[in-house]
Amino acid sequence: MMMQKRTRMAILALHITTSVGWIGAVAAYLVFDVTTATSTDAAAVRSAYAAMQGITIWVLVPMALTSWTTGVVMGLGTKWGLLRHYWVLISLILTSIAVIVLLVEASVIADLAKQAASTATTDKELLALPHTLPHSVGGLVILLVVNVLNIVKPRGLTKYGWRKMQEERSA
Amino acid sequence: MTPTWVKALVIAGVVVVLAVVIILLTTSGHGPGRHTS
Repeated sequence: MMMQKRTRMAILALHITTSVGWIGAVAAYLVFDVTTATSTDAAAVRSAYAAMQGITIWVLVPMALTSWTTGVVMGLGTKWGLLRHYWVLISLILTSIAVIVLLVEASVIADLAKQAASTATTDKELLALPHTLPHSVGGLVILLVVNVLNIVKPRGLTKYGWRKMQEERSA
Repeated sequence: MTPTWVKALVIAGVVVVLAVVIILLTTSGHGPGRHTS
């Protein structure tokens, strides 16, 4: 079902805002992640884990879920569809992977922040806590690829897209 | 006909996934557990 223009514009605005906001939030998260990976200042590392947890719970997860949901709604409610164009399909797959990894990682980050905040954790133990750099760097790269795909919208219909186009032409 | 950019992206994705798998297999573990155990 095609959406009304006003509805489409509202959902598109929300989709762009949360998608770009998600990228910005990952960049902010990355700064703290680098601190946990490289700093030898226990106070800075302790604060960084707390900041990472706050960014994850209050910014990353809501932005990611809203971006994914509005993206699916936009695909289903416009001519683009979800499975017709390669750029939409690949964006959907990559974003879904990013959301799943984020949701799994959120509990890991919560656990790390809890350990970092505990007075029972010594400075040595604190500095030995792991960072999440591979996930945050990987996530940022994936989101940037999706962002470029969504801006450029490169040509290319999937087999399903071709079939649907033929059906619509012959109807 | 699959567009060239899709083929290139898929190949790049496969290479990255393989590289990650090889790194994980050749290092002594993955994830927070390796530091806390």
